This record gives sequence, structure tokens and C-alpha cells, in this order.
Amino acid sequence: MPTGKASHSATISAPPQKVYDYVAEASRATSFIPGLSRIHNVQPATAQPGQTWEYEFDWFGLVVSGNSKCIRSERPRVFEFQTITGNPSTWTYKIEPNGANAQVTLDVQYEIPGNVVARFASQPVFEKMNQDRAREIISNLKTMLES
Amino acid sequence: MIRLRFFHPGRRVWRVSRRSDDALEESWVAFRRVPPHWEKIFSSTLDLIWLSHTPQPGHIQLNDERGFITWHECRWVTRITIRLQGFSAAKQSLVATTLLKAARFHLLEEE
Repeated sequence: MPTGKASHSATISAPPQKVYDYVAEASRATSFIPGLSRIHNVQPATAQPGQTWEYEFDWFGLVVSGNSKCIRSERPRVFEFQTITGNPSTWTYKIEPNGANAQVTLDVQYEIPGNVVARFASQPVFEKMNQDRAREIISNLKTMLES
Repeated sequence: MIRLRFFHPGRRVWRVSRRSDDALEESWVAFRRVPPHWEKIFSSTLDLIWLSHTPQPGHIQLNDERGFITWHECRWVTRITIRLQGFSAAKQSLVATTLLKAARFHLLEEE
């Protein structure tokens, strides 16, 4: 299956530890990821490799649900997880100090589901939608932590 | 496996009005059989996004004059009003959306 990648980076006026703590709580993702409706069954409660949770994502009216698993948790530098079922993808938040602030980069690697692309969009349009979403996620994260 | 649902059961909480100037004020209607524990739903969500608040019977006051959430129970519906102020317009919108998601999906978990 073909894969795609979306990436976006920004400086957030907050210490890296604060940014890490915000993104590494799985349930909190509904506050800054557009379309993410629900996170539940987070086990165990704290971020660590092997932690799992279930998600529901509203993709332009279609509900996509599945399971995720944390694969890397290195406070305050990296938080990484995979969506295992649903639409397989790997999400990596990299947080680097930038003076008193944090430089945050989100990389999302995903499989391009041929059936969805065939039905709803061409592959370049689908990739642009995901790139726009990555930009929006980082922008929302910045908003939640700064203002 | 991708599970697709066109009519999501969370669609029982509806935003019926939205007004925005310096503050954001929204009204929602929740259709339910039994009134859920709104204080717990909203309080835990505000804790999650690091917004300090004071729960009181029938409403929650956000600290530092950042607004409030009120709810009024009728026979089949709950009327909910939220007012957010003192944040950027973008943050007010994100907080309102987060609270709306919580209202929709906690209803599912309590049934």
C-alpha cells in the first residue's frame, strides 16, 4: 500500500516539559486534533511504550475508529504512537528547546487507503488534506498552550 | 479494520446558537433519557485541558473570570450554556469544541 507523510513545525512559547506533558496525555488529543471525536480505554493511564487506547475520528462525516499504541515516550523530547487498526499511521511529536521556548515538530506517516482515495479524493488532494491537518494540529497546540 | 458509521450516536447533543464578540457564548441542547452527571463531565474535561474552575450546583465557574458553564434540566432535554472570555478567540473556539465533544461522548459511555 502506498504511504504518505505530513509534517509541520512551530515554536511554542512554553517550556518543552509543558508541551510534552500536554501531548503525551492521550485523552487530551481531542482538544487540539480536528475531527478526533473521542479517546477512551487508555491503559495504563500514564504515557509509556505499550500504552494503548481506542480512538474515533470523524473524517468529513465518516467515523473511523481503531486502536493506538504508544511506541516511544521520552520526556520531554519525543512522544510517538501508532494507530494500529483503523487507518495505520505513525505519529511523532519531537520537542526541542529553543531558548525558553519549545520547537515542536509533528511527523505523521500513513498508509494511503486506496478505496477511500478512489471514492472521495485523488491522492494529491488526500495528501494535501493531511498536510493541512498537521499544520492545524500544531497551530491548535500552540493556541491551547500560549493564549 | 476501518469501521464507518454515517449516523453517529454522539449526534444527540446539538449546538443551537453561537455568539462571538470579546467572549464566546454557545447554547446546546442534549437529548437524553436520564440526565448525566454534567458537573463531572465538564469538570474532568476542564481539568484535562488545564483550566482551573469551581464547580457549583447547576453550573461551573471558570476561575479568573474566564467564563462559565450552566445546565438546566427539562423532561427530555438538557439546555446547556457556555460562556468563555479572556482567552484568544481561537482558544475560546477550541475549548468550546472540546467541551462539546465531551458532552457528546460521555453520554455514550454512561448508557
